[in-house]
Amino acid sequence: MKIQHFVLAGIAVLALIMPVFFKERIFLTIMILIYFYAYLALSWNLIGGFGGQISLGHGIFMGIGSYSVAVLFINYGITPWIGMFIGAILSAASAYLIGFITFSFKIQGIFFVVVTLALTQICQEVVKQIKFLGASEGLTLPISMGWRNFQFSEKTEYYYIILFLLIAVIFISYYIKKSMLGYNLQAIRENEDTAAASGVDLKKNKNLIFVLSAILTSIGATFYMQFTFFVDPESTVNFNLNIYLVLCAVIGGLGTIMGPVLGATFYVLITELLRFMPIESQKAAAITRIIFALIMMYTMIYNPKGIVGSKIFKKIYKKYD
Amino acid sequence: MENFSSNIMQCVITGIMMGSVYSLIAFGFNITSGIVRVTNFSHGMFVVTGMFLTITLCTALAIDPYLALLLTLPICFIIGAVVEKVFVHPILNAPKINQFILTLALKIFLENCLLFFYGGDFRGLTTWYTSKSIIFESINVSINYSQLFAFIATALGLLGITYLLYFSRLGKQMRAVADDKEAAALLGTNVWSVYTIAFGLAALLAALSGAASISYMVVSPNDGNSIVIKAFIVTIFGGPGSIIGTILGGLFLGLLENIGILIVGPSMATAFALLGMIIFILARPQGLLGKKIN
Repeated sequence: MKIQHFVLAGIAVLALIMPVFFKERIFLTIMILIYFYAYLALSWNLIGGFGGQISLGHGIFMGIGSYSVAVLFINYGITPWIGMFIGAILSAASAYLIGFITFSFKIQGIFFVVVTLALTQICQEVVKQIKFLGASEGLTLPISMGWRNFQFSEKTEYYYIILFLLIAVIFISYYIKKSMLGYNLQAIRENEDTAAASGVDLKKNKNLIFVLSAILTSIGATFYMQFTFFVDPESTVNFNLNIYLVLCAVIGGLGTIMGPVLGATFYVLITELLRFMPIESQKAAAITRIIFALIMMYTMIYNPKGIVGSKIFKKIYKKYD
Repeated sequence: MENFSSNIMQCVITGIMMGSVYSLIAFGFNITSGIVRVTNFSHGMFVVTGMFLTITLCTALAIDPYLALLLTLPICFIIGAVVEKVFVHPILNAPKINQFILTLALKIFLENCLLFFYGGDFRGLTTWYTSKSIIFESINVSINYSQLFAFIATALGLLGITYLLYFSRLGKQMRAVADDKEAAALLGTNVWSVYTIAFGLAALLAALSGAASISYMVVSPNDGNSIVIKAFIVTIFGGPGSIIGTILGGLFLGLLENIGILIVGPSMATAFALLGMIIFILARPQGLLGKKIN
């Protein structure tokens, strides 16, 4: 076993026993946020990094994952675990439909981006109009603690659930990368024409990874809904959240597995740090995003492989090889 | 029901007027994608910046947006040129996905700069012609002065940029770079300068569109998305690489949107237009007048 595996195992053990030693809410909350963003960034990375298609439509799947759970639970008392399953199916169907339309023709990748963006905006508008989905005010979950309802009063259970989800998506990413699908996607990413000429079915592969990405995102959205008890169009079916996932994945290293995790850690830590700055909150949020945008541009220009590809990271990695 | 046909008339007229604005926005977008070969996702923000700049100048100096153009146009040209030199130039040889992420980040940067200075609320500008309209009683059509002026201004802008592209040396160079930049370079064109000017021009056209429409619209820094989506829809309708296509595409979008407002209401008008775009993509991917997609 290489050194890296020991380090990873060590980190995993630390993560597992952390809640035992650090019971402060703020600490657990930050860790939960980090795991959550890492989970979402990795899910996005499946289509964005592996597939090479920048999806700005993940807000739609977040919405589906949250709203289906909320509606089923509030109106019919159906447990969120089943709601999550239904949300995942609906997201898969939506992704398939979107992919079907946008991957159909040999049109530049930009088309996929713009259509997913436009659809997110439209979905946000549509949800605002529908009273059944809470319109602009959104939906709030009635409090009813317990495993059956996927609600917990302490953060500990949430911590372990999201940690489990994160580890799951790391393994899924790893196995996809090593599989035929990953191989095909890499070919597509490098040069679509050559890939198509070599017999790779562009549409099928892209659609498959997109659907997978949608399902995982939907499940993540369900988790977040159960964590925050709240969903509304502005914050959930939101294109901006999608941008931050792109950011995490890109800054960390698009297409890698460690990349989005590192990027998400970076993003959450900086956001939480800047929260303590004594500036009016709206301006502070704008400054945060300006800084992130600049970092993203810097990354694209000087360091396109992200943190994972940077010289500093490689040095640390080599030291232990 | 008896007003139905006159409402269609109103739709068509308003559609054409607003369509002209869309054409100009899309024209700027196509300049960057055609000449510099970068899909500039932040083009919507160029328009919004132009609008906010106009609002600030007009409120501070108490002048008309069209008079303020003397200032907004050069300032926005410079903004576009600086953006190209600083952010776009380094990634010209990078994979398309990197370029795209960069323009995405640029959009966030510009959007949040505006948010920092202006906040997220909608702003507008009232001029003496904002609520004035010509009313044609007989056919039940009213033409709003500001929309009419916007139509005239953007139509002039389209004529101007077309003249520049086809009858000036700079325009020839830009078209040459769009066709074959190595050949253009061999013949003495400074390709990097052309790129910078192209971005400057795109921002300038965006500013013109913004200044023209601010007198009848409200804008917030978050509107960048919908504007660039519209530019893209126009390109799909008109077909890439065709000037007349862009103009027609813009008019078509204006028409489609207004018909959409008539049929499904204002909030879903964009959805209606998007549906139109999807149908176009499936049925005629090269747009009305575009070159065949290879």
